[in-house]
Amino acid sequence: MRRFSRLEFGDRSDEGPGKQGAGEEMRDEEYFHKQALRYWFAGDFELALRNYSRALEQNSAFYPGWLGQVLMLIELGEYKEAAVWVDKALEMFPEHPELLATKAVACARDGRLEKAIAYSDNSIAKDNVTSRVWLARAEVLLNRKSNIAQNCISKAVGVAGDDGPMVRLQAGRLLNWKGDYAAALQYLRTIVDELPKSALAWYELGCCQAKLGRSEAKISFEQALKLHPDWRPAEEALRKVETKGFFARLFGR
Amino acid sequence: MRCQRCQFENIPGETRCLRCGSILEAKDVAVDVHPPRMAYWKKPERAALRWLRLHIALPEGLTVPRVPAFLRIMSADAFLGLILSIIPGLAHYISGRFREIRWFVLGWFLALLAGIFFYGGGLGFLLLGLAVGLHGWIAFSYALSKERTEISGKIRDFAVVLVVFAIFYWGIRATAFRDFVFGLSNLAIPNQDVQVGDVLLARRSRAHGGNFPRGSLVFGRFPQIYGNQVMPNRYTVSGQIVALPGEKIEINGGRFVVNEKVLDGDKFPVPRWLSREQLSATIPVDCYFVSTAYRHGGANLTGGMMRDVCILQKSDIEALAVMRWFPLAKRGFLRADQ
Repeated sequence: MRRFSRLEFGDRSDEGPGKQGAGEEMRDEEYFHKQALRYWFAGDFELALRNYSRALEQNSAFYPGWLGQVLMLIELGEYKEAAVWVDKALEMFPEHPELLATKAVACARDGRLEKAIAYSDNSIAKDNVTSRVWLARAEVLLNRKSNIAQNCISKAVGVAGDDGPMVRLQAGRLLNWKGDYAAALQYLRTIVDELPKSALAWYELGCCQAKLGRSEAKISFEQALKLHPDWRPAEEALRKVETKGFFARLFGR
Repeated sequence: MRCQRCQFENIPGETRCLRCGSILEAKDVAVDVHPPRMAYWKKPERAALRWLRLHIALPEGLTVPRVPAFLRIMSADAFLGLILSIIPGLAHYISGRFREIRWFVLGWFLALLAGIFFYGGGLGFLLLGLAVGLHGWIAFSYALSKERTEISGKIRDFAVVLVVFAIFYWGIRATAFRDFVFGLSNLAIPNQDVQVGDVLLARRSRAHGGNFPRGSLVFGRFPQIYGNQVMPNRYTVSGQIVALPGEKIEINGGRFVVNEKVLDGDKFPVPRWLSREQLSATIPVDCYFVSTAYRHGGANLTGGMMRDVCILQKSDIEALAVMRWFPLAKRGFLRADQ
């Protein structure tokens, strides 16, 4: 069974969250990890972070919990805190390539490009380089406006394995963030087919479409809001799309 | 790894004590799993630094300088905290307690701004009083409020702080803003939208050695008329520059005539007391003819008396009016050539 096929998006009305069949699911680190992923796909990074913390409360040696916390801090724009926290995680998992790569991302987003490239170099030199390391590499290289960033993204998608949907979503977001909307659109379109209940995927797709001046953006934002009601970024984006004039839509921005 | 039974310090990784052979149990070390979070108010500061790093190649290690440790220790003292609180919230900021009084600082700032805007009226003084009160409270709440337990002592201390800060504000007004003076207009000049009783803001520095343009409003020290005599003791009132040094002035048909040119009555209105008698004069060097309203109290005015009152030396002109301050609807800068 694939990792993301078991994710719940709150659409099982007959069962409360966490319930499975006759008994209640055991609230261990895996349970909270699953919850955190669910919130992450819904674009609720604050709740995802809280669930990662709860997973670590169950088991402080749970690696996905540490990584998830750092990623959520980055999503929330708290890059300095993410760098501090990744250092702490590195004490528990020394020289872990994914943690080093995540630190590179935190540094890159905080405008510390020299540090970012150093951490990325370090992470890529390790064994067992995962898709996350390649994605981080791509992000650092995109910050340096390097042409080989696209190759890194392809490599990340290629080695993704079970994490395929998440990696493709991240790749799409990365390209979207860096302004390569056409390439981002390709990834995001496949993602909404794979994860139709992910508000984040719909939102990113909508952003991409809006930037390209496509009218489908409205539908994507509406879908994101349907999945995650009262989500402020989606609401604002939808309002912007709705108030955009004909020429603004025509010329993209 | 210390043995719980015999307290022997074993090599880490051993499962049994080397001395007594008892089982060694690793002490559970609590790991903090809750990450540090950024205060929301730091977001703009971080964003600004990030932008600087990305766009103008700011050194990567540069951050907002932190408060030195010795300053933190010093600020713990109530008296030093009070001194630091001369800048509202500084002592709290140094000791990391700014959050406690952030709304008071905001309130102080708004009250101060509004107080300056309405300065000169009752509301202005009320708002400035509120600003002083808030400032005093910020300073008092830092450490003094915790030093006393009884209410009467707290009230007494707060009152002392308030008085100190009131004197401090008065001192700022008397030193930093001594250049600015407020006064009432006693002339109605339609062209400059000035009525009798309007409050004018004037600057002293503009009067020092200046050459005043015709039509400008000034505050000057005018001599007084007692009985049928012009006395040397002077009072500061407002007036309008009508004739410049070396010019010849007359009043003819209710209008000022300067160098045989009739001045516009809207720009240079003639006060009633000046139109009662014939006036003709040539303005000496370093003097100006300044028209002003005057209550002569039934004295027998002569042209000479009017001359003595209205011809002022440069040194007797104290300040040049720059703004109509009150009423608020008319607030704006004055222009002599209007």
